[in-house]
Amino acid sequence: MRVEVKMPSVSAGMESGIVVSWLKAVGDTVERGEALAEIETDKATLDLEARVAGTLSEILTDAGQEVPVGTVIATVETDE
Amino acid sequence: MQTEARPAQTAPTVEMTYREAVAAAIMDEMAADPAVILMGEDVGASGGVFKTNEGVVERFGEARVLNTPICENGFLGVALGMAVTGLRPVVEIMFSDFLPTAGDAIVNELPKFRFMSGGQTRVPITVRAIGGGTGRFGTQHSATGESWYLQLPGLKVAAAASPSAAYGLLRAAIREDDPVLVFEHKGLLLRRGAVVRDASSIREVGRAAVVRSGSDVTVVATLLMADRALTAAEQLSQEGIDAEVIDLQWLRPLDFDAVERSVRRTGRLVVVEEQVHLAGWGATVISELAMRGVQFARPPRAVSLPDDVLVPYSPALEDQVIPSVDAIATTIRETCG
Amino acid sequence: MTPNTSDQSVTAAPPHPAADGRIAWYRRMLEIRAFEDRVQELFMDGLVEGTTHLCQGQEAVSVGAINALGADDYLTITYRGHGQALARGMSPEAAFAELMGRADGCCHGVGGSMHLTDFSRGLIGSFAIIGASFSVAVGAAMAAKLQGRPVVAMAFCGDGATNIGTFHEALNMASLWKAPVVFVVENNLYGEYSPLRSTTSVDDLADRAKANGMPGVIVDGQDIVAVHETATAAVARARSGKGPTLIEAKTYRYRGHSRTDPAAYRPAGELDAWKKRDPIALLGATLAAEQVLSAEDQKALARDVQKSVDAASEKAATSRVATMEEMRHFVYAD
Repeated sequence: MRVEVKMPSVSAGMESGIVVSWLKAVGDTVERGEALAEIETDKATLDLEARVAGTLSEILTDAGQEVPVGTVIATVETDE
Repeated sequence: MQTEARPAQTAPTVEMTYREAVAAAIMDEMAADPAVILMGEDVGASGGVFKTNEGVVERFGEARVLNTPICENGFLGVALGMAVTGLRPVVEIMFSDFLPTAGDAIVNELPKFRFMSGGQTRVPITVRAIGGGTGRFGTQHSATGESWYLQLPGLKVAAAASPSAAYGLLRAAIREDDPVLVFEHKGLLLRRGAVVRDASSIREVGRAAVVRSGSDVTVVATLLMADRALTAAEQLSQEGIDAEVIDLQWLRPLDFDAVERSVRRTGRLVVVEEQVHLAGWGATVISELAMRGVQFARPPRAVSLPDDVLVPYSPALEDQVIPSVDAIATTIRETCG
Repeated sequence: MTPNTSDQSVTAAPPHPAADGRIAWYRRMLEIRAFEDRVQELFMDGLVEGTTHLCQGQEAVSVGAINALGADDYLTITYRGHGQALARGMSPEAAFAELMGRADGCCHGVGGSMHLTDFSRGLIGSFAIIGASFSVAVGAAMAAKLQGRPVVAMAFCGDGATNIGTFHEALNMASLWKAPVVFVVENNLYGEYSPLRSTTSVDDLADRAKANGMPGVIVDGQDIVAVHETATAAVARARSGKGPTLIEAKTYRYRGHSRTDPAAYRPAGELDAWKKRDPIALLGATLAAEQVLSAEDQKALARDVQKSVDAASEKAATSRVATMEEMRHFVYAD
C-alpha cells in the first residue's frame, strides 16, 4: 500500500517547512519511527519520522526546498 | 444577611478583642470538624506571634497544630496536599508581606488546582495573612497585601475589619471548599468588639456589610481603614454630614451591588484603602460603578497610600503615610462640600 | 481436597516468584514506549498542541517504582509524567484524550499533557511548574499520618528540580515530621536544555538527601528489578513510620526536553551508548534467558501493545470537546 509522507504542521500557525536533508534514499527500508529527513520549521530543525514500516518508494521534494504544510514530499510502500 | 437565625434567649454575645475573635473562630471550627488543622510558624505553644491562636494547641494537641519551619512556599504546598487528601488546613502567614514568598503556591497552585484536574478535587484551604501598618515594623513588614491576589479566579479573598468580622469571616472561610485568603490587620488586634460566638455569625461569602447607614456619601473601606472611616463618620455626623460606611468584607467576590445601591442613593463615593490606588480594589470599585452608569454628584475620591514613598519605620513618618482619621474625614468633607 | 501428590519432574525449573509480575512490567513499559512514540506522531499531525515532554528511555523508573505502591498510596508527578500516569494504571485512551484536549480526557481536556491527574488512582497532581509537587506529596503523606491511615506518598521529579527551594523545604519537613513519603529523582543528566553539571553543584543528587536528614539511595534506572527493589524498601520504610527516603535513578531520555527540542546539545555517541542499555531490551533479555517470555512472544506482545495503543489514540480522537459551561464548574467547588 502506498502511504504519503507530508510536510507536517509542527506548531500552530506554521505555514511551510524546509526539507534540510534526506536521511534515507529511495529503495531503503524504513521502520516506523525512523527518521526519514531533517526538516526546518520556524521553531527548530527536527526529524521527520516514518509512520509505517516499508520501503521508501519516492522522494518528491529535493533537499533545500521549502514547501507548504501538507505537501506530499515522499511516499512509502508498506507490506500491508 | 445572616445564615441562621439565632435563638433569642441563648445569644452568646461576648465582648472580646480581634485576636481573641480569631482564636475563637479557629477553635470553634476545629471543635466542629476534626479535619480542621492549624499550621504555620510558631502557631503552637507560643499561640502565634500575634497571639491569634492562644489556647489552640492546649485544647487540640500537636497532632492538629503543626509548627512549620520558615518556608512559606513549601508549607503552603504541604497544606494543599493535605487539603486534597481529607484535611481542612488553616495556614497562618505571619506577615502579609511573606505571601509573595509563597507566590507559586498562592498564584499557580491553590486557585488552579481544582480547575487543572477537571474538577476532580476540592481545595478546602484557608490562608490567614496578618498585615498592615501602624506597628512601626517598616516597609517589609507593613503591607496589607489585600489587592495583590485579586486577579485569580479560583481564589476567594476576605478582609476582617472588626472582631465580629474576624470571627464570622474566618469561620466562613474555613467552611468553604475553595481556597480562601483571609487578611487580618495587626493594628486591630487589640480592638474590642461584640461577637456573637456561634454559627449565626458566619458571614455569607461575597457580602459587604453596611456598618453605618447614611444618606450623604458612601464610604467604602476594608481592614483598619474601615475602622478609621467609622470613627471619621461619627465625627462628621456632628458637622451634619451623614456618611454611609461599607466594610467590603470580601474582595473576591466583591459586592459591587451593595456599593452601587448605596451610591445610587448618595451620589458620592469615597474609597479608603491602605494600599496605593493604582490597580487596587478601590480603582476597580470606581470603574465598575462608572461602567454600570452610576451618576456621581461629585467625582469619586480615593484615600490611599501615597505612590511616591514607602511605609517607613519612623513613627512620625509612618503616621503621615497611613491614612489617618483626619485625612479620611477631610476627603469625605470635600465630597460633600 | 486431597493434596496433589503426583510426581513433579525433578528437572523442571521452580516457578520464578516474580515471573508474572515482570511480564506485566514488560508490557507496561512497551505501552509507555508506544504511547510516547504515538504522542510524537500526534504532535506532528497537530492533534496534540502546545508542548509535550516525552520519557522514552526512562520507562523502568516509572514502572519499577510505581509498582512498589499499594492501591491507596498517593503519587505526585511533574510535566514529563505520561509514563508515570500509565504506570499507575491510567488508560492510554484517557491520557490521549487529555493530550488532545477532549472531554473524555482524565481532566476533561483542561489540563493537558503536563497535568495528567487521576484522584481515583491516587495520582493527586501533575505539576507543570517545578516546586509544588514535593510539598504536596509531603502534605498528602502528613494527612494520612495525622488521620492514622497507613498510606505512603511518592513524589517523582527530574534532576533539575532538585535545585529549587521547595525541594529542600519539602525534604526538610518530611524528615522533621517523619512523613511517609518517598522522593524519586529521575536523573537523566539534563535539566531542560542544560547538562546537569552546568546548573547543579553535585553529581549525585542523592547527596542532597543527607543534607535534609534522610537516606539517599542511587539506583540504575534502566534496571527495572533494581528500581523496584529499591522502591519497595523505601515504601516499606515510610509505611513503618521510619520516615522518608530519596531515591536517585540514573537514567536517560532519548528525546529532547520538549517536543520541539531536537537535543542537539548532546555529545556525539551519548544517545547510542544509552540505547545499548534500553530498559525494555534489558528486561526482555532477562525474561528470554530465564525462559519466562521468549523473544518471539516478546515481539508478539509488542505488536499487540502497538495495535492497542494506536486504537486508543484513534478512539480518543473521536471524543468531543467540553463546553464553556462545563468548564465553569471546574473553578469553584459546586
